[in-house]
Amino acid sequence: MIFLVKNNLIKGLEEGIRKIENFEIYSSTDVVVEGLRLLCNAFVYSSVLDEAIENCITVVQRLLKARPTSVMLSNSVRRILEKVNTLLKDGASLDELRGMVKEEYNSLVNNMNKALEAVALMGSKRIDDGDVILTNSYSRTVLTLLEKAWEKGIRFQVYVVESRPGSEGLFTASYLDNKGIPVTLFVDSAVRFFMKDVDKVFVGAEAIAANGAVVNKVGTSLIALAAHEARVRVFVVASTLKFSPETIFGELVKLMLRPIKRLPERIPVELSEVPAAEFPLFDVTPPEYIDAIITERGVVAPEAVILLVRDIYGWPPRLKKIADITSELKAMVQGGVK
Amino acid sequence: MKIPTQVLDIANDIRDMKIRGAGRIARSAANALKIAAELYEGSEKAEEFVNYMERIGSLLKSTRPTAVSLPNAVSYVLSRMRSCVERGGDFMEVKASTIKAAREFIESSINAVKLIGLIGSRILRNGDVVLTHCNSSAALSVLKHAKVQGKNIRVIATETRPRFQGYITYKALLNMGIKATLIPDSAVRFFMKDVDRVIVGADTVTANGAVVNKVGTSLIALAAHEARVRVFVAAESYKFSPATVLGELITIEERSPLEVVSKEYLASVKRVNVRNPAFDVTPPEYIDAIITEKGVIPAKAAILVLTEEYGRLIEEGLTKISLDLDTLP
Repeated sequence: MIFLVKNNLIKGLEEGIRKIENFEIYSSTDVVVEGLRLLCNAFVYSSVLDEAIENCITVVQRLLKARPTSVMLSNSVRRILEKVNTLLKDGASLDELRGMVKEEYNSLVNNMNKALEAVALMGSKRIDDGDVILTNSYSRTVLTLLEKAWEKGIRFQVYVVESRPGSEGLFTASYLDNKGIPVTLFVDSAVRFFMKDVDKVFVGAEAIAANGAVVNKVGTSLIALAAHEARVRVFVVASTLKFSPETIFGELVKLMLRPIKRLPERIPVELSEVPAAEFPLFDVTPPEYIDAIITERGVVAPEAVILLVRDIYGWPPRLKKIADITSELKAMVQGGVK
Repeated sequence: MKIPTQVLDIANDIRDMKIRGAGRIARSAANALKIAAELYEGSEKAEEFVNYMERIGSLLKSTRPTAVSLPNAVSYVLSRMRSCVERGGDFMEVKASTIKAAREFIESSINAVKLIGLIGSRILRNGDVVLTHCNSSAALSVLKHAKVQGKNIRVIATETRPRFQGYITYKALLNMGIKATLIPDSAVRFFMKDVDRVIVGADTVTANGAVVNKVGTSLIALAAHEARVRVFVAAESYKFSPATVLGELITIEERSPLEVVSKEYLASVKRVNVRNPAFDVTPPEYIDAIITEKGVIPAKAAILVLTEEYGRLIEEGLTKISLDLDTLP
């Protein structure tokens, strides 16, 4: 029985990690939801407390390795780990832990969705009749924002960039098309060609550093640069859960580079082997190219991100490293806390 | 007289981008004119021959609207044919002069690419990381000659959506023994910090020194400018557009959406407008120099090449405009 349970956990974990690693989940919010679900499973599919803690630590390590850029993921994971830590110190049972983790999952997902809605609502006010909006990749927040503006009766059109590698811009285009919003789709390199026609750029974010720099799908910084050159406003929409308090202490957000796995279809030449290639998934847009970050706590200049970080995490931010919390947990389990 | 199949095939191959790259297009067009002249079977009258050649010239020019090398190649050959007629040449002389002009153009074009390689390779230093876009024979010639000179260079080649010509460049570089890495077009700014020089080709250079090249070039130049990386354009003098001196604008060709997305995708959406411009325009401010077979010039000195190479054509155009002026009410 135990074997079967463990098997389920591992099977689910491998599949979830693969989806996150291979960028099969486009929205950064959905990545966090999936990650937290996997973390819950560590408790659901474990039969004794020690095992649950061990599994929980494994899942956390795998998640952070699969998506090191996602600050919303590490922030959420930290919150759950801290609660586990507190409960464990109070001598909680596995059932109690399960209950708490479930509750935390629900509350975090709820918070993310609420923040997303609030951001989208505020952002939708920045869209005017006749606007041409440019966006890239697949951001649930941007899509919700555009939908809200459209439902209000504002009539605009959206330019969507293909967003290689991944080409998730195609899904963004289909999604908007399905809602009846006029969409124009083009390749990443045509961004400067079309920028003259654009009124505003809206992009999501994977993480936001203390200086207001925005980590997002690769190509975002190029779009922001071209927008800056053409004096087109750039808005980043992101909940404050994506703010990285660690960067205040000089920590860098880790960017991921991928080798090319298979050749694109229809390449115009025959190659005997997979070429040497470097496909980054994210890039960093400096705060100079961003006009405003729209958060659930209001619209702020990127340089003012630090103020929100202070409001949320205190000053200087009181933060435990995730690695420190997991070591504490490990020590407790080995120390015989039951 | 009917246009020979061989000539039609070349025209189609240019249109379908089986023949691509401004230099190759120009040489193929000259070659098509040569073949057309050789296979001419009409009456031995200079006038009929000239009409036939002019028709083929127009056909070739209509295949791609943006690259000026194409009309330049055609006018190089046909203007020599016309001069021969003006000098009173008979049919055989006119035909021979046409074939000779086509040969000359092809030879000088190949020679120009070589010269550009020799001149351009001097701006590369040992250890340089060079970023290039699309697949340009002039840019490749620069890289090849640098390698031949023993300079150890590394190349970052963009994939170049939608048609992935970057993979052709990648393969060519491997064959030359040059280390290359492919990156997606969206990652240009990500990698620009590591780049020492950008070298790209050109489809057309305009009177003010703006460079029309594969879409994405202007974005790369912008990112290079931001990072203070030098940008060089390798362009033969027949890529300079005399028509722009007379105020004409370059038409940017927009190609089929099916180069960008699949049929299935297009069928799955209601009305997503897929746009596919093949070129964009890089302003001269973002270009450090244009490497031509006549030497390295600042982009804004493009007019120098234009008046030197196409002085007569420009004069003729100006005369025509002033005549038109006289007829204005």
